[in-house]
Amino acid sequence: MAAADSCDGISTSGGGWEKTVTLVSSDDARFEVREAAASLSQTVRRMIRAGGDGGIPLPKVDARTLSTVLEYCNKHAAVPAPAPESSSAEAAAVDLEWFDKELMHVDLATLCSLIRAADYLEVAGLLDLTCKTVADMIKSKTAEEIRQMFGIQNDFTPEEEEQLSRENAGVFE
Amino acid sequence: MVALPSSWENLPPDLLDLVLHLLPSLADRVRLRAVCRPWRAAAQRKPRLPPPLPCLALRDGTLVDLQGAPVRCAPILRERVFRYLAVDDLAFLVHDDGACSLTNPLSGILSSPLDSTPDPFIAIIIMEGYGIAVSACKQLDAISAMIPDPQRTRSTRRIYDIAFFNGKLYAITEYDGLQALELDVGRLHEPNSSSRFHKCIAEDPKQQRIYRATDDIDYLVLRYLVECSGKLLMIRRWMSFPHEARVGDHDRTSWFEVFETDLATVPGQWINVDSLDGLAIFLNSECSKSVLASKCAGGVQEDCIYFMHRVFDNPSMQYFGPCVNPLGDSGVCNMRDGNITPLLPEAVMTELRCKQQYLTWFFPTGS
Repeated sequence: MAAADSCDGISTSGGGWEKTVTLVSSDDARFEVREAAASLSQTVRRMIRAGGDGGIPLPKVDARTLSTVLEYCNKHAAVPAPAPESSSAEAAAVDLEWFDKELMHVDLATLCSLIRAADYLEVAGLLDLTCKTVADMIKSKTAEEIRQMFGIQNDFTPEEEEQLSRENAGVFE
Repeated sequence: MVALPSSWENLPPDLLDLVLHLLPSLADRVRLRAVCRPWRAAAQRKPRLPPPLPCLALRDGTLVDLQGAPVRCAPILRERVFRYLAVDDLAFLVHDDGACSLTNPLSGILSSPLDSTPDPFIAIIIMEGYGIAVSACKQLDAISAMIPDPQRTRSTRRIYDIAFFNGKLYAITEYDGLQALELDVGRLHEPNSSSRFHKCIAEDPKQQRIYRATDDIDYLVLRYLVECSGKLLMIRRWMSFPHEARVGDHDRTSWFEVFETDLATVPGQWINVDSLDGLAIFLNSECSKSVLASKCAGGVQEDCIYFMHRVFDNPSMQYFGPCVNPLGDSGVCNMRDGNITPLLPEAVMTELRCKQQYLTWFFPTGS
């Protein structure tokens, strides 16, 4: 998604008129987004209600992360709500699932930024998706494997290590 | 202002908590706590996690989780242990000299974890179903109790399943009879004062154990007792088997019936219920357990009965020869529509089948 420099306004999208808002990342990139998509973030929704000029500042999210978050929001807000049991509803759900999977094919630094951004922006669906992704990566791995994967230093003292192994004595590998 | 640093060790505790809630296996939770100090602190901050998924305890003393991954534990079956039953997160051992003891296989510590449990008794069916042993956990000792047969002196009634409920031990006998044993922790060592059962629900001679359906097919009905959020339930498990077949080899569980005890009337009665109200029941003789599926960490389906192959009348025989496939008649029965689906992924089933072992549920605690 490209950063746009326009102000809040009305634009044509898909043949209809839709209200848009401008979000400003920590590194001052501006994103013009449909309000329906931006409102998937509870934080942004509150700020829209509060009003203000010159775009909504999001000082805790950089442009790279914000663009991924907005990719998620645009896709999820775009899904129309057809009759719940129709075949198109099923197709849309399958499509979304694929989209989510693809979106999570990111490096671990990005995933870490995404999970924090989803939390700060309160995008419930994305927070759930990122946490599930992390949980799936942790499953069935040893503590050392988890450390290596996430680049975490083992900061336990030898005494603490010993206590840990005593606590888990013979329980799990 | 700058964007948040994206380091994993400094993941805010609330977010780590969300991840922990998505890890239903105790092993994964334990390993997460051992990654680094901040994670350990975060994981210990909120101990109220949903209960971890149950494991399958094999009678050879090992444990596997519901995905089939082995869970390491201290060897349970040691020399001179002749019977073993997993009860919640404990192993109840019967030694060949008749003594009983308790151990927590995950810690290897004898009985001490029980100090904090509100339910200090543990019980097991002994004497091929004609008696039970009850132990007050702290005493590392057990008493036995029997249900006398009113028709025949010096004879006792067969017990099909037992369960603790409201501080009493309930036992189900033939023809759906229900009896209760009052337990007094201080006086457990005095057999006369504490080993008397009293009748709660009268036997109904119409309720058989085996029904002839056709010339070729019989039905065997097994009864289980399980405490479910303040109610005592009886589950009837209907299993078909060919008339001429060797016992156990061709069991096919067809459906379940659920009854609630109504002990307000005298005598009490069984009331048929058609919904489990969101509960999942893990069924097994002497150690059935119910959990509220929505409170679990995922992977447990509500209104379902999880079952495995029945345990035979003489489990100690398992050590002397090949026994039936422990997963041959296992599955998950959804009580809303009666559909039965496999208990474990096929690959796991294949692996466990080779072990030719009896199974039971094991409920690790999250601490």
